[in-house]
Amino acid sequence: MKTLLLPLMPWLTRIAGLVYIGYAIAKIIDPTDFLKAVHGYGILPAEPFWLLNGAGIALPWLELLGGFALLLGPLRRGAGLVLSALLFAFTAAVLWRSLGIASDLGQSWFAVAFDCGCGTGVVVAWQKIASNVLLFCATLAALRRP
Amino acid sequence: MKRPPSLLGQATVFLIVGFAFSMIANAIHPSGVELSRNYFQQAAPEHGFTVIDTEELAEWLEFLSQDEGGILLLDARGPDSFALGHIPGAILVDHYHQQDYIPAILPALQRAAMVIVYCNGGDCEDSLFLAHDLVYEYGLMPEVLHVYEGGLDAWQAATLETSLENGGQR
Repeated sequence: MKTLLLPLMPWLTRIAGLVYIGYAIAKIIDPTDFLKAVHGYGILPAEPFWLLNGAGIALPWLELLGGFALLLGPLRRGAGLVLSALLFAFTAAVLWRSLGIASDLGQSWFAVAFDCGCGTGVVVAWQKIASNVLLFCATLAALRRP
Repeated sequence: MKRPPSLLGQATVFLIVGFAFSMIANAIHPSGVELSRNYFQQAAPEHGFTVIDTEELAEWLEFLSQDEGGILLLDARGPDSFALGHIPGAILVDHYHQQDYIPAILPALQRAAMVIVYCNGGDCEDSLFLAHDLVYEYGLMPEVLHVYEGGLDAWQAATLETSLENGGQR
């Protein structure tokens, strides 16, 4: 199994890099849309507002630079660690918010769809979480030693 | 032989470079986020602005078409949402880039007897944030501001009902 996976890891890393770049570009085009989404999660406090604004500014660019790092190599492992930590936190936030929406609307969690601010518009929550788990695994492939 | 940087060392360098890069890139981005601006004023839920419903808005819209600037209807959403559909007679004032819109209409806003703001409805609070800024940053009287809380969602739902009653045309 290990011998089968090892040759695939560089490719998994590159694919993950491309996915991050795609997500980041969608957010960078309209940064205030992403800022609204971050605010909507209610995780970061509204004050001091530079904290929320700073996160709204930095996250898409970190995602973009991280995507390029995964694709091209420089700082690949460090970018992989940061991106996997961010993705883990974001996926937990999506899960938390989708459970809240399901509870508020009294509907099945599997039917919950909302704009998660992930750069992909309105998504079905469980599908987004499943795709994030796959992306997380691919990002972990970037942590391998050279 | 030089040792490669550790995983944490690389991550730290990546974060420092990334944050610096993001601030520079945001500064030159035409729609960049202002670090020092409070986009989410605590206007809701006890905002104190007069709230109007769909029926009242429809009545005021009849005046809007005849009135010469006494009533202004502002759409607080973004230009893409506005282009996809808005309430007839509405003026686009994207709350998040209000500096691009308000100076041009500020004299009209200051003359208006009634300014109605709306966004999508539901969880959307952009209309409240805009109303708050119009009062506290642009000096409009709070009594002038009216918030159509149902927003475009309620407007479209009501219009659909009316249209169906009139023979199925939107």
